[in-house]
Amino acid sequence: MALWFILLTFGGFWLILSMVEFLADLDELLLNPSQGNVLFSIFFFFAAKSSAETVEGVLRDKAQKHYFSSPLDPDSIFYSKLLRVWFYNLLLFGIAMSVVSLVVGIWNIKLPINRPFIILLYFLIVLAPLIGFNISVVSHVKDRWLKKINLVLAGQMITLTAIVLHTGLSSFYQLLYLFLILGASLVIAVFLGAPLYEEVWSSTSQNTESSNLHGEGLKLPKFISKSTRLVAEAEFKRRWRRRQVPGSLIVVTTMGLGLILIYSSLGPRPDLGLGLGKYFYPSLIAMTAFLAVVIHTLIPSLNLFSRDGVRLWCVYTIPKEMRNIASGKALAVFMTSPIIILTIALPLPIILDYPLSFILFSVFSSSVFIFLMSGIGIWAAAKFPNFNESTKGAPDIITMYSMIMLALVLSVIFLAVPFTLLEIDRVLAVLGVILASDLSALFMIAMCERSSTILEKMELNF
Amino acid sequence: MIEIKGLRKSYGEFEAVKGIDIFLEEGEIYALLGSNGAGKTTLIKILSGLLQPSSGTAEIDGHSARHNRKVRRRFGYMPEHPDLYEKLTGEEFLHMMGSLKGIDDGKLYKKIERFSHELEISDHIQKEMGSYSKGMKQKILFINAVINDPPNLILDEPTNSLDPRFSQDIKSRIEDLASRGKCILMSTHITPVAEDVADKVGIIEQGKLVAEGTVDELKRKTDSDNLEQVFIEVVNHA
Repeated sequence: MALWFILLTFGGFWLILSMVEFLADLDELLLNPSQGNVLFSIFFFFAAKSSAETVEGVLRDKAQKHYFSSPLDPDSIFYSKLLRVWFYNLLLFGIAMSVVSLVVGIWNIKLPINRPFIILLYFLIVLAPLIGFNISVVSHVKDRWLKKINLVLAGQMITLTAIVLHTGLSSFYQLLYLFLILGASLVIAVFLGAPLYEEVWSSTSQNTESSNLHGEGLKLPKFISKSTRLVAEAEFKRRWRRRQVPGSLIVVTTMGLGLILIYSSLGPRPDLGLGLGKYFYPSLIAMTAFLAVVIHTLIPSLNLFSRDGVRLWCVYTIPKEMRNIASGKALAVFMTSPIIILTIALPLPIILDYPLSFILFSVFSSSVFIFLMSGIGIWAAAKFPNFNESTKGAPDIITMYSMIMLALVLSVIFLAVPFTLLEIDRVLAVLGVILASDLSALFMIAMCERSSTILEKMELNF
Repeated sequence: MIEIKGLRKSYGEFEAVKGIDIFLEEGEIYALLGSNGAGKTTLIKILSGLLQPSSGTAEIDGHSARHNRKVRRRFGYMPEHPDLYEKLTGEEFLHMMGSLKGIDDGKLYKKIERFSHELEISDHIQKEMGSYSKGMKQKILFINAVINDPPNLILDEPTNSLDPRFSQDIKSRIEDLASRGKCILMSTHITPVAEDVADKVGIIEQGKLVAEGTVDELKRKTDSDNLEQVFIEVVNHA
């Protein structure tokens, strides 16, 4: 153990000295303003994501009463929760970076980034979850002054980071300054948050009641059957109040803004060493739309029934057909999916001044993704439910990835012909993609039927 | 009318319900007593259509509730645990369930208002159910079971988590419902509740109905002073 400690200590010193030496030797332009903006966007996204996860998954977690009633030191509970949020965000970043590295490596893409960009990216990603966690904890402190002081400090850190990154880094001292202010916020997160944690958890977890009941006025059109409408409205309100809907809408909108940001950084025809030229943005829009539908529609659909778990008796004892219940549940997720078309499929093709045929192709391709993934989601929700209450009905990782792969395969099958036609005859391609959209809508309806058949046979033995 | 004949339910090798026969007529209150894990809730879930029996039948007004949405109009169900949609308000939940049971909006809102006033939850009915106490959730479950005035009621531990005053209130409501011809099957751990309201009592032990009769008949058979003694006597000798 002693040897290990010595190794770690000397290793740490060596690492810091190497970093300083490396940074001091930098004579190239460290970072330009647009790179700084990209970095700040990523930093802000991870901080906000961590903050939301802390409120929902940590501060409102009633099960922590078992820890607080045990002889465990409250500080150690705080640190374990902080590490959990930190770890999961780093894991997500790690997976994203692995995919990016793989794509960049295979296609030999020349991204317009330099070494300082990568170092800062890692540094900001390490700190963002800690700052997000801290903000969530201190913003729930009862003492008004303590709350204000902490939030002002955290706000200042973030603002300073934004300003420094926005103006671009051209010297080692600016970089050092950024390291110092963010390092200070880390200290605040760890040392100020820990003693407040027990009080904050106690007040937040006991009061899960929203002060403002969102979704109260939601009324769906009357052409939808009454039972489907009632189930959809109730499901939507519950998803909204759990902040699933607004969270997901924010993520999708951020992805749409990200596309525009990439366009503003790379220009109308980036090559990136791929020789893709005109195909770059269409491919990017398609990939982003697919990913957005996975996040906004497929994954939330997968736990539509298992999230209810022990509450499923409600829908099994009402005198309505299960198909109305299943359709209502699916509709609650599906109804907000068109936001993907508005934020991802439409803006960039319009900005790029693409012809109407391509804009229509983009819109209907996205609707194919939405219909297909809604169908897969509602079917898988009934076929592979996870009634483990501790996971809040979240699908297991194998099921989730299998369904994403299934969505990918089906999307290729549905869109292959229209996509091929795009090179031959644009009008025919648009007609083809409209037909594909209709077929995928039929697929969704068929999956709702299949789902209700599976649910009819399900036994509620819990 | 509730009729259970030769009902069995197995989970692999384990047999949770081992051939139970129960018959209830209109206006009758039947209390199921049993130790923990005796099979009461399994039986109630089969009757409510939540589980499929391995063999035998469990019928309400001549039909099985499983896969039969018309029968679901003919009974009200109150589960043992107050598992509710915590992000809905009590009013939203009752409105959704009531509407799905076919009550029109005008009548439904009046009923919700009347019940919530009578059960003293008016101040909370427009708050999310996540903020409710267990007793308040139990009241919501009771309102949900009776809101469409069904001819049959299946109540799993209806007075659980209620304070003595509301426990008494629910008991008198159950008696009142039976006097209006409702057929009521309830399970309970609390023997005084069964003793006070039940016309007939059935004691289940290890999936079998080991004793059945009126409270007086059971007291006489076991030479006991009250139902608690009857229960202990019957279970010890089962």
